[in-house]
Amino acid sequence: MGLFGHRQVRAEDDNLIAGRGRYVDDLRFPGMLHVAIVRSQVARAKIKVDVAAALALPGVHAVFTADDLPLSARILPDCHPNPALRHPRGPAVLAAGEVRYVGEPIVAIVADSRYLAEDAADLVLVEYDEMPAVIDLEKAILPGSPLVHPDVPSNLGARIPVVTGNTDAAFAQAFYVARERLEIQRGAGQAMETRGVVAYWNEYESRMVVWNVSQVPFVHRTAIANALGLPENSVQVLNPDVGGGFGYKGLTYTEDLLVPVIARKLGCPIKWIEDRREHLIASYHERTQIHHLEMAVTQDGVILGIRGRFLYDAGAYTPWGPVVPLLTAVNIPGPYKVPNYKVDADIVYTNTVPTAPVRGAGRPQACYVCERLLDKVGHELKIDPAELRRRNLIQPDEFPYELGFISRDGTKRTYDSGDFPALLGRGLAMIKYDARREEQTKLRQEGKFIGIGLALCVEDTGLGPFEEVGMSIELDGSVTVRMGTPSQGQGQRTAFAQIVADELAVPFEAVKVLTGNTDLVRYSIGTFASRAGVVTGSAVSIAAKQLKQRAFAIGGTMLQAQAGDLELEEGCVRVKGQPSRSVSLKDIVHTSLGESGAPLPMQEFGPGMSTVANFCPPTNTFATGCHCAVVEVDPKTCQVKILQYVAVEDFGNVINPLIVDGQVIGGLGLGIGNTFFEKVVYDEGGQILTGTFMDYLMATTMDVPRVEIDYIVTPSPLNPLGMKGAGQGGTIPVPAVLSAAVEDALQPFGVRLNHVPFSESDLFAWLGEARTRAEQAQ
Amino acid sequence: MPMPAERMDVELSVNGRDYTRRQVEARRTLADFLREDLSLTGTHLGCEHGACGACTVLIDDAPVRSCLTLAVQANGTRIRTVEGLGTDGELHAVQKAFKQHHALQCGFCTPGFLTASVALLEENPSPTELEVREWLSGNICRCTGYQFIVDAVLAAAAELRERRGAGTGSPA
Repeated sequence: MGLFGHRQVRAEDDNLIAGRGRYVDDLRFPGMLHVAIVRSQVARAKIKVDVAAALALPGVHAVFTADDLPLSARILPDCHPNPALRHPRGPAVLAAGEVRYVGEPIVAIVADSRYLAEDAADLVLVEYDEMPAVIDLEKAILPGSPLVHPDVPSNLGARIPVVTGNTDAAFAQAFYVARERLEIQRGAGQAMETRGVVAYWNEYESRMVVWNVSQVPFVHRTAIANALGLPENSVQVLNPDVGGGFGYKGLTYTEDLLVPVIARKLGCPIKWIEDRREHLIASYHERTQIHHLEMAVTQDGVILGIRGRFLYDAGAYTPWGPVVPLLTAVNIPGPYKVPNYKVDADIVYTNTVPTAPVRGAGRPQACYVCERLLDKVGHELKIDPAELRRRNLIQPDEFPYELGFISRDGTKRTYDSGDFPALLGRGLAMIKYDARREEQTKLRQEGKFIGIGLALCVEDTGLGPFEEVGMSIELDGSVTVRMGTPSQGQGQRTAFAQIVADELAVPFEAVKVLTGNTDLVRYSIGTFASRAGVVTGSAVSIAAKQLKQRAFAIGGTMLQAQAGDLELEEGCVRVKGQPSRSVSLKDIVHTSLGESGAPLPMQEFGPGMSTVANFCPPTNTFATGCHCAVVEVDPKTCQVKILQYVAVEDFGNVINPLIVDGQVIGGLGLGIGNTFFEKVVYDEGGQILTGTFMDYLMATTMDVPRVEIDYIVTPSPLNPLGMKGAGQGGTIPVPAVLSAAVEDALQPFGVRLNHVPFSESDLFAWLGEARTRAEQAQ
Repeated sequence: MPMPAERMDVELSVNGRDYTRRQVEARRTLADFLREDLSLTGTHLGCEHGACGACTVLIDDAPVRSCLTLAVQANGTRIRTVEGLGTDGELHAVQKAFKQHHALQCGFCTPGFLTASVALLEENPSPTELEVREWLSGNICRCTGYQFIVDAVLAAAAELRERRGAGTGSPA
């Protein structure tokens, strides 16, 4: 049996469990200096900066303000230009004269130690001439609102419509129209390792070496080269062990340019490590959206159309273009047939931290709003939620299924494969749906309130354009894999070694996967959007197959046998049925490399056993899933207990189910945070009130239940291994599922949920309001 | 009361090694002392305000946040960090179980979970799942969703009980 599909324990772990991991803050170079950053304390102001006292402190080597930066390193590049965003605004590397959100970097201090740098930061005088700020998303688009960028005519930065069919006609025929205002509040990625950058000038190669925590080192290489005015071949970006990515480490930040600029200028190694407070108030956030949507249905609850608009809070700048709202807008129909669809994504500037993808990236919101509308339809038309979904799901024989509009990647959005009824059926069976409904009825009579929630979702995964993989068999028979998608904990070294071990019939331990170094491959896109497994994994498979063919060609010559008669077993090329006619991969490498100083022995093949492969998916593939939950809510305390949580996922063929289980449960932990706890709170003046982990709450061991996982496998036709990405499926449906379950539990009280996250206190208040409504109605 | 930058002597033992008369600034955290002065970078800083548990070390066998402890406060104590959990070159049963049960992904919070878990099993060799969850509720992991961490700790507890049972000839 091969290793593909095996629950292989990870090659990464031996170092990490022994305390031998090497993260960016663990790097030390001789003469290294440390940076601390002074950040804006107000949301909007003209500023004047006096750094004299800071510069005078012993141990301080330099102080940088915007004026000290080269012109090419003052504004971050727009990584996702989109014509709809007519006035994109990149964050300032250091604020020049004006600040637009609390936390915006203003001054960088360079000192012998972080302690001294922070001492000096306290001595920087920033004079704030405060201006009116706008924090509230809905107020920001009212006439007369203060403008975040005075040179941009309105805070409405863009309106992107996503349209198919004829919604007006569809709504005219509707038996019932569900209308909701649905709100998803701001959250954040919060990897346990904050961001950090170490940079130094490599004198002997004349190039800038940057160690950072990037998910996209090649994107950063380009940005750093442009900022420093260097050719790209004079910048190397390296990633050590990285303590979690969650999407927001895939963006370019001011410090990614600032630290190399300082290192170039001062000529010594420079380290900046973000502290948690900086991370909470200044690293990109996500999630804030307010939807005004309508769903038109027939008498049987069959969807005729969805229409409406939503507001997306971009924050003060647009470092990642309109990617997140676009992902929401194209993901709302999800697994359901929605023949008529018209939703406008309105992208709004506010005086808050810029927003950009966080694990899920616009899709949890899409799933939430669609499923909430369906639950309202079910409630009003008295159709069981499972039955209602059954009536609307895309059927297995309808793939490839075209949605009728354009996807994020510019192609016609087409689901490649899947089986939604099977996902739903498995989920319902696992929670014993019918029995649970009976139990619910019985318990209600005893004054106990359980509720069932379910949701299905799709996720566009494995985005293009390509990933490149280099692969070599070494003289000792070991295999080296070189790739461009760095790891933030996903276990790529293990999963990709499994693919190679299968193809080349070598032991798992003989494969070493190298990544996190822009010298390893020529080009790469990066690790995000559940793409590394699919795209890099496919390239790994192609490269290994190429080496296998090469081994047969060279081995066949050595064995004087036809390639078709050969097999690769236990690290040897053998003639089928004649195991004694065999040559090891090691000997093939030796022979094909020849002897030093002598002519190459097998000129027709060229030297060695090495190859490069690219995989370029035609478009993204779609992972799908169905989550079901049973909760109990105590209406006195409003405590929510998750009694059962079931995740049925279709990630196509899975390389390592152990790792993928971990992705699902971990993703679910974030989803639970998004449902109950995680919110970045601003006051009206733009101060962040959630600047510590005592205020910004994340799920703990006491909050994430034991999850039952099962897989449906419909292999993707879009890549050689039939894979679909698994990075975000655990997160996406959770707020929809748990909102539905809690609402269902409290159904006798008439509480409707249209806002995440919600706390027990929120439930208590809503329950009170529902009681008052009921009393007034009597 | 010493000034923050004033230097003081500390003497302590870390992972079985004695450090005599090490000079540290009064304000230096134990975490920075371990990481910067002793190069024990296995202890990680996740929040630096005592909320995430990544920096947990064992001071005289008790789990303590090394980000909220000053190095000078650890004077005269015996400290164990993630680098010193194993014995005789062999990893601790908890460490092995973390690998076996896929209880880590990025590995950044892992040292804090390992030290906290070792402290739990030294205090309570037979914890229930709820006791494991309660004990570890002060540590945040963003990757795993905790389930495999809980499984690993329970498995390590069983393994240690079995070993102890085999060693003494009495049931655990």
